[in-house]
Amino acid sequence: MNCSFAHEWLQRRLDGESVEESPLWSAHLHECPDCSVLVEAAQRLQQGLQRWPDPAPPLGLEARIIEAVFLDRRRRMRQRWVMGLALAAGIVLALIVRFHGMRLSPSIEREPDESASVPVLPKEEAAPTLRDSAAELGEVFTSLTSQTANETVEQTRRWVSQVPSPTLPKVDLLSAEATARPLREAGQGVSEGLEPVTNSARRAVGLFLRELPPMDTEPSGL
Amino acid sequence: METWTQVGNVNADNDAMLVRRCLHGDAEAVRLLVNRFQGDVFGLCVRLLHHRHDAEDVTQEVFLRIFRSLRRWDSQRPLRPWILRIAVNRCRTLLAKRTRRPELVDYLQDSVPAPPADDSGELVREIEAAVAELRLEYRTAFVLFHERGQPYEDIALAMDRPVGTIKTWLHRARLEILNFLRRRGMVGDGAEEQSSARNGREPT
Ligand SMILES: [Zn+2]
Repeated sequence: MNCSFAHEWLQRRLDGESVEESPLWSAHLHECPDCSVLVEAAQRLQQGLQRWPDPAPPLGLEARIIEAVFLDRRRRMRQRWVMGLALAAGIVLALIVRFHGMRLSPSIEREPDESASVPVLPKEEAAPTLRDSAAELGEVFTSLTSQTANETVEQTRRWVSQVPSPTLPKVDLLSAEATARPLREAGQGVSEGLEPVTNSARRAVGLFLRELPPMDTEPSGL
Repeated sequence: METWTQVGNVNADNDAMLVRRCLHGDAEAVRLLVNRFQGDVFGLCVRLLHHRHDAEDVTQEVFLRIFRSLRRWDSQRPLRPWILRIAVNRCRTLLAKRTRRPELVDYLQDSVPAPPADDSGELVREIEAAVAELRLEYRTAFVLFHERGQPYEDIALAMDRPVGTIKTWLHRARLEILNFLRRRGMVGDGAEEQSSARNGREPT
């Protein structure tokens, strides 16, 4: 047996295992002063640990903890209600602002509508959702970009006709048309991109409502 | 209270049942949970912080955290290591704050309970001093095993480390304490006897 085996044996004994004192072990202790001192120190440690006073919690700590737990619980419930009310008020306010915005917008929007070739959007009666607004925005963006693309193509066509043909390579007008397509798709992307925002808002409200404790539980309870 | 009588078993050893009752707002279950675990939490805090007053504050804070996050406890796992883990983390946070401003308080003054008045008092005091010198991980493993009587698996859960690491830490903690006791002359006589006996046999 060597020292590392002896240490392992000692650790197992301190773990509480009932390990046999083999003749090999005794022989090693007789020839190794380090290990024999260590074994004695371990015996002293075990003696001391048996008398090691347990730091018992002071009287009244339990009551203080319980009181603090219930206080904390009540305070957190109040906070939740305040937060809930604030959230609800925010949503109502947002809806009111949106609704009033729709009422005011037709008179402002009409004039530029007639001069420009932007398609007129249908007027809505009910307060629109955020997703509807996103869709509207996407459509306007699409029509504007496709209009700009058309104008650009037309301009290019005019320039090309003015330039003497032998000095200029042939311009592929079809490919210029094709650039308008990604822009149109980007417009739709805006509307789709805003969809997670509306969804996560809905989820946040749902989550909050689920977190609210049921009203019929014991008020003194946790 | 109604749930209490329905359950029938006043001991309610089943931690999952106790937690469920706490979550349903059963005040008696809250009291029972605090009563069941405050000794372990407070005992660990005293040994790690070396300060009874701080240990009381941290124990209270630990229980606030326990009840706030009780919903997140995985009922497939034992409750005690989960609770002890919160206590270990709180102590670690406080000790980190202390080392940032060590000049404020002398923490070894209002320390641990008084050792026994008989001749074993000195031995206990030396063991306490040795434990206080250990680095935090070793000390935590040592106290959880030797004072709180927790098995390796539960210490691993409480300290969020593999069982092998806990074993290594505990073994090193013991060796450091044994060497401390030796340096402090707590093993003198026996060792001398052993060595003289050995010297006597040497010629053979
Ligand atoms: Zn050896």
